[in-house]
Amino acid sequence: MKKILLFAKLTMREAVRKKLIWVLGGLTLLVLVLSAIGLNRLVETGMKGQSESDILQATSFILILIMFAYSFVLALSAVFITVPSIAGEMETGTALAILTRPVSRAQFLLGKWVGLVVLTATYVTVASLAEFVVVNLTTGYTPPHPLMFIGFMVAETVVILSLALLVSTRMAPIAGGVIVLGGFMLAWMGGVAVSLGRQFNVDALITGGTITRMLLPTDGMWKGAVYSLEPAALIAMARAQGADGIGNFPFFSLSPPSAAYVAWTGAWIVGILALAIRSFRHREI
Amino acid sequence: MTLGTSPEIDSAIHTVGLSKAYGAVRAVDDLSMTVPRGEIFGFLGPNGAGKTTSVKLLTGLSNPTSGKAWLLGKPVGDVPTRGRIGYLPELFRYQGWMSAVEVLRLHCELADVPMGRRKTEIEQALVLVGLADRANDKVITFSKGMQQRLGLGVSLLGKPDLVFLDEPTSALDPVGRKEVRDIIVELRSRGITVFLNSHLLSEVQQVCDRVAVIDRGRVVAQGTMAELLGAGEIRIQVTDLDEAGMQAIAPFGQAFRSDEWLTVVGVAPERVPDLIAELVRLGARVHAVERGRQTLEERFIQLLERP
Ligand SMILES: Nc1ncnc2c1ncn2[C@@H]1O[C@H](COP(=O)(O)OP(=O)(O)O)[C@@H](O)[C@H]1O
Ligand SMILES: [Mg+2]
Repeated sequence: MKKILLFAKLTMREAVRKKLIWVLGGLTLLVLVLSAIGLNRLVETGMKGQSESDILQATSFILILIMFAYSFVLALSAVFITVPSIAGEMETGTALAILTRPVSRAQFLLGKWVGLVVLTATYVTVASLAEFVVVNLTTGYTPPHPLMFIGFMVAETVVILSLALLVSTRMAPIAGGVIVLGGFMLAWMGGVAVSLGRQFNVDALITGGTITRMLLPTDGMWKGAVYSLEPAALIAMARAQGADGIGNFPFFSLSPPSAAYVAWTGAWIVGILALAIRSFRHREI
Repeated sequence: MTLGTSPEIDSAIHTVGLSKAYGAVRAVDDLSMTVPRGEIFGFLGPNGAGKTTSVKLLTGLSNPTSGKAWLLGKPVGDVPTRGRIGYLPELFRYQGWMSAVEVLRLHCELADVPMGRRKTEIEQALVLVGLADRANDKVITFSKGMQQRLGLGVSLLGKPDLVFLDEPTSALDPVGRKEVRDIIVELRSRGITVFLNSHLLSEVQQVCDRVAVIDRGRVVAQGTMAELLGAGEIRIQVTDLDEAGMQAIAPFGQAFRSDEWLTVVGVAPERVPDLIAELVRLGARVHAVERGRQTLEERFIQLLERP
């Protein structure tokens, strides 16, 4: 346990020292400022005089779009921080001196994972809350389930980060990064496929999409995050327009993921970690 | 086997039939050797002989295809034993974003060096490898040679009983090489076993007590330095020696003739007088006898000669 924490701290220190965190922080600040200006304009001029519910709808939708873009940046960052932290250390030889110490490979890997998860959770929490505050100050709108949003967002990132960790035990940094991001895009497309399949009653799309949702639950977690941002009025309206199931958009979801799906995602993460440890144990360095 | 007499338990390193294949390449082939504690052991071989692979097998970074190995009496892979082992990899790289002190501190933690001893150990290591004045500089600003020195310092933290040094002077200048040789000898005086991988013959000849020569994955010779070089050659200036005489001295070793000089390879030192007596008995006239000074280099080339 002590060694796991040692590696976790090391990973976090590295991210801070290498200024990755600062780049991400700067980017986030930019988004915050731009969204503050944009929303302010919207309320003060663009939609001036329109009904409160219209403004609320527009605001909630804009917030979802911002967070959608943000979830992509988050996934990208998770991959580009995680993959080099294992594969890179193997490639350069830094791992040689470390793994001959009295530490197990499982401790090394789990430590990295814990460090990355703590970084992710901290960052998501701070950045999301800041964005919510900005939205609230400019428009008076607060999303219905902000904490649930943070939870799903962290879960989505942890899913992608765990996969990146598994892949990096075997592959070179760039190849590994490309593969994980490819998987992330596929899962997202799987989510769209399910929506389309529901809408137009195409079973093959639903089946295919559902399988990708099971194989890589990133989009599933995103659907939970999106749902947490939807005001009840918006959901009611979508229902009235005849949407059903998990939604008809990557930007919309009529219901949160089922408890069973959330449990599956938890089991998935544990399973991937176990696989990563197994793979890493047998890895020749 | 009784306790305290088996080579697995007693020696610093003991291997039995250790082998590693990468596809068709036998990087290490049936390596069986024993490294006694407290000695400097030279593991000598040309590039690609399998030296680094052997060290990786011994440090548990890589898994053998077959065979077994013990370090300090425990099977390879035993986690607590790793706390008593130091390792300077051939590919030495340390966290560029850390300072030298931070890297050393990290390795103190990794090696379970007790809190109270860390500061002294780090200071000693820095002084020993000559980096005291760069202690707080980022490793990324270090030259290759300085990084290798840092690696040597890292490998000595925690007072290890056994240290693996894989080409420890590859990035150093002649002065640095001399310093590292002195450090290695100093380690022996502290009772530390040093496993030195090298293709630098003079380096090995100067410091090692015992040597194994490896070629294409196989050990082609091993023994103490004296044993390895002892199978020396004798040069004799001789006249009146005929073909029959040449035949008659064959049991002493391989004999070659060039004009008046007869070279006999592989004569045990104590048999030299007998050889001379035999020559005289055969009616040859001996004008001069000198010991061929075989260097490790000559022996090495001889061992690696391919038929
Ligand atoms: N990871 C690897 N994959 C395939 N072949 C390898 C690998 N590592 C080493 N080899 C091969 O094993 C042999 C021994 O290499 P190595 O142990 O590095 O030699 P040395 O350290 O004596 O120069 C070489 O033929 C090398 O090409
Ligand atoms: Mg080598």
